[in-house]
Amino acid sequence: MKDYRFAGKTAVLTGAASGIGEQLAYGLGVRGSDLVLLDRDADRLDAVASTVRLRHPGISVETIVVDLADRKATLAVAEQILADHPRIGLLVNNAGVALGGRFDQVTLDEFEWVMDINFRAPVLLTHTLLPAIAAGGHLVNVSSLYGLIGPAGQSAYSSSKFAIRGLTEVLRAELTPQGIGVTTVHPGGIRTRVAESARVGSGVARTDVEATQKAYRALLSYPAEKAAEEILDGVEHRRARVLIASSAKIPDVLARLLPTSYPRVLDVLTKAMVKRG
Amino acid sequence: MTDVDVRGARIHVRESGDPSSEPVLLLHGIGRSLEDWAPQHARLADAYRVISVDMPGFGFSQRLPEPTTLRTLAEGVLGTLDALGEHRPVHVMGNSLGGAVAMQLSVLAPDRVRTSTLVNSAGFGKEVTIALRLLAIPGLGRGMLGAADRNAMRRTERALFFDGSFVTEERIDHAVEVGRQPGSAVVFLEAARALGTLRGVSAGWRSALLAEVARHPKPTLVVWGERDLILPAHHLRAARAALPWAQSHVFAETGHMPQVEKADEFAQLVRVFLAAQQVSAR
Repeated sequence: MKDYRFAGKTAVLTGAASGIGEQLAYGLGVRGSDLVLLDRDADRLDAVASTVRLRHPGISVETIVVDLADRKATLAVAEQILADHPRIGLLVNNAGVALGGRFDQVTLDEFEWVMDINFRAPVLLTHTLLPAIAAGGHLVNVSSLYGLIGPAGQSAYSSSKFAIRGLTEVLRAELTPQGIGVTTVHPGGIRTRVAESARVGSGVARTDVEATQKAYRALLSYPAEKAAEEILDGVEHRRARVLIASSAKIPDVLARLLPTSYPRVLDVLTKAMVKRG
Repeated sequence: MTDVDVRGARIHVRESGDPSSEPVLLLHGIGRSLEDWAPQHARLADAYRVISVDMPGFGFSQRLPEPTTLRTLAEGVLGTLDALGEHRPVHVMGNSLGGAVAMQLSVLAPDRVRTSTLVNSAGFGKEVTIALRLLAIPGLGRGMLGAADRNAMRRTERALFFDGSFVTEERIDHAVEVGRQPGSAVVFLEAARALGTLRGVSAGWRSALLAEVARHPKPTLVVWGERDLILPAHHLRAARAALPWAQSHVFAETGHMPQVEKADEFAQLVRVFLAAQQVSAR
């Protein structure tokens, strides 16, 4: 497949108001793509859009405020995008949320909230917008390190990220013959707002929350700007998989070498990192 | 077309628009001529005094006695503005080598430059077409340029555009005529060797120039054709890092000269950019 060309194409991006999504918006602007940016945080999204417009007066930047947990609203937005943009070059399903707590400590509503945003929303958007993505186009779904391994305390998040990974690998098999590129992204510990905006299971003790958040602050250290550049580089060169940071690359190898005993090894490594951080 | 005298050298100039309008100065690339800006005269002259220059030793201009470097080219351009009686700060736009000359101009005479528009500009990265890198080899460059026949000219023109229909017989005729000007190969080689080696565009002058440019920041627009075969479009990212205040744009399906290949879009973009500077200056 030929390299993806960004200039003059329309890119649809979810979770564009912060973290990797914000940096993807900036990187796509630099590359000359017209942007349709989605997020639930109107103020931050406006700030990102204004920054892009100021830097790149020659591209169009559209913002859509939507809560991707809302099935009806998400579908309506997808239909509207399809009506406004009969040709889409790139769709990036980047928006994601996290949830802390053991499986027995989270409610079913909490579990489903994660699945709805991290998995159902990309399904709805991709299914609706796919007719607008022609040969030469590209699809990116952001999975996670936890779409490669399933550690304790990540039942909902890991489920959603394994699911999106499975979907994306299938779509790659189905869409490659049509000349559409597909990339699964597995970020490791990237410095984003995902930990701050995470919900905590209703059954989790307050003291445990603080300890976990402290551990995450130490682990989420890789700059989001670098992560975004690696993703866009992967899109340009039509890579099937983009692993970001050693915190994704090492577990990826371990999970394949030691499919049953990797959790113990990772546990030791993680504790060492938190202690150092 | 006019000729003006700059320190004894005959410098070839094209002017259009009302001389009292704000001045726009257009600079071409290595081995090129003011013809590369022809489409923008028609599109900008209603609102600006548009001046394009064959830089000293290029096109139909005579060379200056000094070896051709960024500095001497910028001095020659300043001398040309003086000779035209244009002493107001200009909106300078430079393509390829002309972009580096534009930056040099803003360093040499910051009060003479109002804004910079850098078009597929040299100065932001090492990678450059092998055709220019080979010129750095002693003995080879002279032979290559001396042997440049009509077919070679056609290949050069073809490399400049994404859309081959821009390579007209008229354009090739012009390139052949420019190539026949006495001393043109010598100036071409001097410029090529002042800026790079076989390995690419030298880092020394680039980092020194960009550091100086950053000391005199001007409103800047950096644009690139995404399919440039001469200087790759990813240099734009380096440009943004070096000049973080700059605005930028990438033209799809466009080669080394967006001002020709996407003339309307280019004109519209720079008109918006220039108009915005006017508002913010008040």
